[in-house]
Amino acid sequence: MGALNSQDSPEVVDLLRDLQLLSEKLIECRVDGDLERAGELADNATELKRKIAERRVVADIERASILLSTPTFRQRLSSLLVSAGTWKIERVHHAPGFGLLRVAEFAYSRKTFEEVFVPTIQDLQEEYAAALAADRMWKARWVKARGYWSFFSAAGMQAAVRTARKAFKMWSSAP
Amino acid sequence: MDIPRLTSKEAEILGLLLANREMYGLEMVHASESLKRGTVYVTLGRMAEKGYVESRLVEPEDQAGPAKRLYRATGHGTRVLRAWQTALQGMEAAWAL
Repeated sequence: MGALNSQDSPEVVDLLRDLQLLSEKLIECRVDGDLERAGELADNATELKRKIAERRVVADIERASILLSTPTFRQRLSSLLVSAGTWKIERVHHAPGFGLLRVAEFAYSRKTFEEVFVPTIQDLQEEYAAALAADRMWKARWVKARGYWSFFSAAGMQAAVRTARKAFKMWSSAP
Repeated sequence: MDIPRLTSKEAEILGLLLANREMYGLEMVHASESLKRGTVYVTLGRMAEKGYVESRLVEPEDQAGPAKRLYRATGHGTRVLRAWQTALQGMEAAWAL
C-alpha cells in the first residue's frame, strides 16, 4: 500500500508522501510514550490508506476504459472472444448413452431396441439432464454410472430371456 | 384349475398400473422398491408379449426430446392379476389351516 507504483497519479504520490510523514510522526509518538496522539495519527494513517486505494482503483478503471476505446484493442479482444466461442461450438458433446444405443441397435432386433434399450437410455438422459440443470455435477456423474449399469443389466437380462426362449423352443419341438 | 403364472415383479407392475391407470417405466421404478431401471423394460416387454400390458408413444409436452412409452394394463392383465391374487389368498388360507 505504502509503496510507490510507476502508474500512480501525482495525487496518489502526494498522498503517499503524507502517509510516509505520518508514519514517521507515529513512530516518534510511540517512542515518546504519547499514546493518545499516536492513536490519532494511526486513525489518520488508516484514512490516508483508504484514500490511496480508492484513487488507485479509479485510475485503473480509467486506464481500462481508455484501452477499450482503442479500436485496435477492441478488435483484438473481440476476435479473441469469437475464437474462444468457436472452439466451444466445435466441440460437439453427445448425450450419455449415445454410443451404447448405436451398439444395441446393431446387436438386437428392432422391437427389443425400441422397447427395452431406447427407454432405458431415455431415462438415463432425462435424469442426467435434471441433475445438470440443478447444478449437481456429482449426482449427474452418479446417474450416468447407474444408467450404464442399467443398460448392461437390461442387455444381460434380455440375452438370458432370449436364450431361455430358444431352449424352450428346442425342448418343445424335440420328438 | 390353472393358477395364472405371474412373477412377483409382473404382479407389482400390474398393481401399479391398476392403481395409476397409465405410467412411464421410470415412474414405476420411482414408485417401487423392487423394480430396477435395468430390468423394468425387459419385464414390460415380456408382459406386452403375454398381453398383460400395452403401450403407446407419447410426445413430451414441451416437444423436447423423443417420444416416451406410456404403459397401461390390459383387460387380460387385470383379470390375470385378480386371479393370481385370489389364488395366492387361497394358498395362504390353506397354509394357515
